[in-house]
Amino acid sequence: MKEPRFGIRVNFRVMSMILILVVMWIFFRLQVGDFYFSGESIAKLSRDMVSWTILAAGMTLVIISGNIDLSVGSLLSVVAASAALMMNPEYGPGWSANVAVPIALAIGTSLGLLQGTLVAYFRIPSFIVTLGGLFIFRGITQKISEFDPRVPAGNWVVSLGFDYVPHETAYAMIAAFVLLLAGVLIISRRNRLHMNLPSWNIPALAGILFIVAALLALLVMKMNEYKGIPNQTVVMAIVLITLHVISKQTTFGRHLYAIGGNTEAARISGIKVERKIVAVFALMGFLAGVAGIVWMAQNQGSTKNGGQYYELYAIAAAIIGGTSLMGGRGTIFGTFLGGLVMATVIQGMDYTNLENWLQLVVRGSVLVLAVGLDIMAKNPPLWARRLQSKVWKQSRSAS
Amino acid sequence: MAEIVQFESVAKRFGGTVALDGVSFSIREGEVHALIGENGAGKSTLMRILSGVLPKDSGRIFVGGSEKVFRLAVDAQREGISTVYQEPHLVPHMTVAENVFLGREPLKRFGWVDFNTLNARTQEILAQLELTISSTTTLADLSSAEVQLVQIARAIAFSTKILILDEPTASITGRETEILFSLLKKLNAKGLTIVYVSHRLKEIFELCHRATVLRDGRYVGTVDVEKTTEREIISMMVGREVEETTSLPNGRGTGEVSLELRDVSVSESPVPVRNVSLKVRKGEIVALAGLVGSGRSDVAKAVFGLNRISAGSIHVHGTRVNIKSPGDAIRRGISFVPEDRKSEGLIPIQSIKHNISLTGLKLLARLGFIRGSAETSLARTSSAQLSIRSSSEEAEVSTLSGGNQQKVVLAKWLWLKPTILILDEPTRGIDVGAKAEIHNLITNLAKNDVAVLLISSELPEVLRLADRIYVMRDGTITGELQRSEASQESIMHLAALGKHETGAL
Repeated sequence: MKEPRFGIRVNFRVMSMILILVVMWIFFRLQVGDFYFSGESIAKLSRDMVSWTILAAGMTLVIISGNIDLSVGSLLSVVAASAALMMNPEYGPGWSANVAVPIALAIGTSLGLLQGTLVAYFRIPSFIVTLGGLFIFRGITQKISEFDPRVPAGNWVVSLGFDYVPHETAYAMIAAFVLLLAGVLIISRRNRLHMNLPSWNIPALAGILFIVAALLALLVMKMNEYKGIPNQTVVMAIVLITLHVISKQTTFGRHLYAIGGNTEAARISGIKVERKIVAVFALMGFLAGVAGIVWMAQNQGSTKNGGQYYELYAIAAAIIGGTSLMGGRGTIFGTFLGGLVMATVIQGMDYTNLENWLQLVVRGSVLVLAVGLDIMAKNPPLWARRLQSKVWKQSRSAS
Repeated sequence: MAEIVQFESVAKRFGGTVALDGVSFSIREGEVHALIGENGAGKSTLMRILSGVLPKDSGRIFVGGSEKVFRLAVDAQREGISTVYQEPHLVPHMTVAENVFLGREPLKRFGWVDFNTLNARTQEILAQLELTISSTTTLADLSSAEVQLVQIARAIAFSTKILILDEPTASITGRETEILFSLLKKLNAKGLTIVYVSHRLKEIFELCHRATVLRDGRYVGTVDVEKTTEREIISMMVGREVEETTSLPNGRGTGEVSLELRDVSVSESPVPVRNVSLKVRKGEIVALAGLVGSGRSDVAKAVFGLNRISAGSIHVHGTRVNIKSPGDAIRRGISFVPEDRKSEGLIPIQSIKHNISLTGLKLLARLGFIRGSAETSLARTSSAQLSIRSSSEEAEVSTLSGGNQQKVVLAKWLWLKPTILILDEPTRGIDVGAKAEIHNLITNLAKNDVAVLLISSELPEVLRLADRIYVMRDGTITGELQRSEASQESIMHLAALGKHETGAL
């Protein structure tokens, strides 16, 4: 077989998504003008995607395990509302963030745990359990958020929503990240070559590192021209990296893939299937909590309808990113790209002042198009193959 | 005789695996042509290309003298090529007639289905085939052999010239096979060309005129069935003389008892198990024989913690144990190769490597993090030991042949170095070569003091490998046979009638 250009074959899905992103960025740059690539615009994009991209990362693991969680939008708002209420001195006890945030996260985690228990031990399909959860948690939010509690200023939590990483720290962070990435890539390449496995060749490896480093440096430079990297963006990055490592490197992550790939085989292989399902829903609940805290910080309080439709954004980002609804397949990196696609579309349409109804239509179309094209490329349906053969015949008879 | 189908250097690869490598041969009009080879030899792939289900990568196919490119199954059907697959491609809750005409229903005005014509024409076809099935029976009420016959009826209902049968006897009994064969012979006498894919040699000698052998995706040769021998065909298939398993020395298995069941009953399993007692000693191969549905697998699953036992006790190395889950069983040194590799044994969408390591990921991890190099070298060693043929250990298991998939299942359980190994139909649906390899492997494990409990429906396999045989029927053990007293007849007596040949139990 021919040696692939980059040493290993490049994932078609990832490449096509990056291509779609670049095309969209160029398009919106032409539409919007200079402002589109300004630090402010980039910072805003990265900030706006945080809460539902965190949900999407957790959702990826849930879907990989062969389940789904429709309740995350409502769960996010329950956590946001209860944290806000706990910190509000007027309607609530007015506790400090140090008390309220851990309690709120614990609430999110235990609600996830409860749903996971119903799915795993009571055998109720996750679609049903979490669809119920979607309504129940929304109802609870409406009660807790009766007075739309505000979070008093001066709380560290609020800085999560509004403050920025100091400029020097930002550079140090990306330097550390690039070094870490370089280390990981080089070690994994060495290990793979040592085992005679195909791996990135040196030029490709250097190219990737160079592009990542340059891109990050450019982004930080741009954002520093404005106010810097938003704190919440850093939270998102930490969540994504952690979940990536969990999914790829830990036994827990591998067990989730196995369960989604073939539950019975996983069980016979000694995996405690029920416990892992409960754990992945609890993790999802915790992440909905984190997203809820970030959302609350962004909004300095909570409202009755916070986080509505976020479960659908999260699912859309995961699916665009290549996660299979059948379970067993998907990556956090893909979901990150999927989230970026969604965020780009949403922000770009905001800038072009597209009417709200049309924005919804476009968002939906992007989802269907992105997933549809991928499926068509991998496994074309009959009529497409027929068309292909017709075109092929014609081109052959023409030549 | 004219050549009706010609293959000219047909090639196909799946990812990195070469499935067909320049295969050329031809099929004559009006013959029954056998296509044989081990699993993974490329028989099914070639037939799927001929029936338009798979596109070929290169090469040419001629049907009736002119080159054809089939992109869809209907393209092949238009040329008169029909296929009967191993697993029925029919709708269980519809009637025989509806299935025969599925997608080609005769219509009345306004698109209403003309059920009278539908049923009448089906009845005609069934009568032509001299079948006694009624056209209005629901398919789910038929036996699997009858379903096969309906598939054939469907295949020949529409001006078929070439009928492809892919291992049609895999799931039917000997008596039903006879009916099928007499039908095929009748159809062939009327001029139908039949391509018969199988690896059961007996059938080929009974039914076919010529046989083409494929091996590792390559064409080995075509022989006249009348002028050849089983031995010649086998050596063509395997590419070497098959080494018979060295006969085991007698009188083994006097050591300590590794696994003991005392009056075990399982009430929650599909086939309730009653009062099963058995012993497997260190280094001994004990077979659990019996017909399908006699409760053999249910016993195995009880030992492995997949079924809860309702009475009795299980003892491992002399201590009574309470195994509640597969994890408990694994910790006690028990490995279990389940019956159905696709639904229970493997995660088809994952790599060989990930499938093998799954049973003991914790052993390969440090602080919960998997050590990639340890995992890879495990997969390497296992693949080499079991000679798993694949492009790399990162190949998806679903792309492998049945025999190689089964070796992956064995690999995932053997690297745990079990002291007790339960094998449920370890060689089902596997070709001669892989079977011999697996038999040798089982023998060697026993030599290395592993206690083996072997469940198998194949009596020759049981007789060749087992030191002792327990026979089950209706969820209970009806007899125990020593190697010296066991024969196919004595086992079948216990399995079917529940008593010894002599009449006394």
